[in-house]
Amino acid sequence: MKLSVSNLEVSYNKVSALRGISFEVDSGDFVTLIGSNGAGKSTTLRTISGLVKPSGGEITLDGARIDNLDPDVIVQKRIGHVPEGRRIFKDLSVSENLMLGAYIHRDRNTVEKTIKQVFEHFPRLHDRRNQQAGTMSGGEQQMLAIGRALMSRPKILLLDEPSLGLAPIIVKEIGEFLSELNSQGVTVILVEQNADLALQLARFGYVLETGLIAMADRAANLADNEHVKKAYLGI
Amino acid sequence: MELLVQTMVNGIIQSGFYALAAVGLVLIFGVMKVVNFAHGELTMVGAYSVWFLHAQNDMPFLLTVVTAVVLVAMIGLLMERFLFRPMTDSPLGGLICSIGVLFVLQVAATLVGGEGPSKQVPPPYEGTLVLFDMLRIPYQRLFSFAVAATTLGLLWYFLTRMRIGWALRAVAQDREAASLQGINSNRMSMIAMGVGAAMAGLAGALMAPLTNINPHMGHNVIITAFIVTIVGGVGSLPGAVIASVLYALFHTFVTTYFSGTIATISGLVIMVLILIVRPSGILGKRVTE
Repeated sequence: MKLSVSNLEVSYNKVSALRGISFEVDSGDFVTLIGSNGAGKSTTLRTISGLVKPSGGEITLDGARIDNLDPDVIVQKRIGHVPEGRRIFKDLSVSENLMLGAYIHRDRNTVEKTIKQVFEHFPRLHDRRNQQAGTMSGGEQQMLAIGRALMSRPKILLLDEPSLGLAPIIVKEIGEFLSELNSQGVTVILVEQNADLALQLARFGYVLETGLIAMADRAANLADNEHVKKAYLGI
Repeated sequence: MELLVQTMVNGIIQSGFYALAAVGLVLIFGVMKVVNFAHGELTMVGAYSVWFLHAQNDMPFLLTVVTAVVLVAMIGLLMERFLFRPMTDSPLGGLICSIGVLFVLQVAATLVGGEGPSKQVPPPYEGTLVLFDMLRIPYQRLFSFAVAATTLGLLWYFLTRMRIGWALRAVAQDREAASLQGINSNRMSMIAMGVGAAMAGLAGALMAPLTNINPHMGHNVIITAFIVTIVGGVGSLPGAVIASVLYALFHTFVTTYFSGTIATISGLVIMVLILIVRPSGILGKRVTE
């Protein structure tokens, strides 16, 4: 599945957030969007998953436009989104959250198979499956948010700041998990303020600055770039 | 002692109506974030349907109850589709629209039933159950309570055991995150509004043989529903049910030992006190962020 974003423009109440960005993500890629606050990283993901409608440009999936579709339809195209701030259903149990992640799948066997896989990846979710989701730690909630998105069996997974507010050891765990997921063939688009982590994990990176793509290169090259080092890696 | 026990039983039976009306209001507010001011009038339409079809036109009682529920659910669906949905981004707009519906329904009831004294529906189930030689429960009330309790039980099952019920709760908690799971939130709004309105219609239909029916009867219903919703904790369905029982007991006791007016006034005072002391209600969550 090839995701293409071309000349994408988004504005919120006439303030532009994206001013015409273009990039392509091939099947099995691991790309990251880095940049400072307000550069348009989240907006890009939110527009791909249909939460925000673009004011210009287009998004296509295997050549078919998806930018006019609603989010609940875009999930069915196998694009999963782990939103910023996790946004799990705090009053529901862990397993209810996961079952809702599989909302688009009606086949019981598929759902049971998937939930088993998620529990294998995140055994702690299994231990806490009957617990109210909001009572878990931040790291566990992030795992639940990722697990919930996996329940839809996405071919493309969008992640918005999964490392935010988590202990380094959990961040490392999540990073390893994303690499593993990608090696199984899931396309990953990762948005991170933690550029260090993001450039380690991804193969290709885009640097967003005030709604435009300022740089695009292999992640390793970006990590070596003087400007990126100074502006985003804090070296 | 006899009066005490009798009042307690009366209160519990009363709580069934309160809970039906309040739970619908909470469901609609939870999923759509709209305060449905016309909720009392939906109840009124339910009662009017029974009066018109059963008392005036001799349709069998049970059939009129079903008809009332379906009719009021349809009104709810129309409200969702043509008023609340276009007002999705404006909770105040939805509220004002619901006030409009309130007046329209009151006028419609006056057109159908005419002005003049309140209507009565003769209770289709006559007789009284006497327990231990002292407790008297008219069969009509027993029937209403049984139907209300069963309906609440079914709703609970629907919300906690069924996939669509989870989806409704998910939309109530986070509409956007729910849509990312593939849940069509407009469809969930329709379900919430349909179910909420149906329960209001059912409350009205069950109440019909036990109360005075007039175009303004919704007033008491909405006040009660607000009190119960706030005491129980805005957005909490179990809270609304528990608060319904507590408030119904309270209201019935005060009515029996003092008067109905004092009961309603003290109910409102309690609501205000709760808003000041514990705005999250009995089971509501404290809003963080």
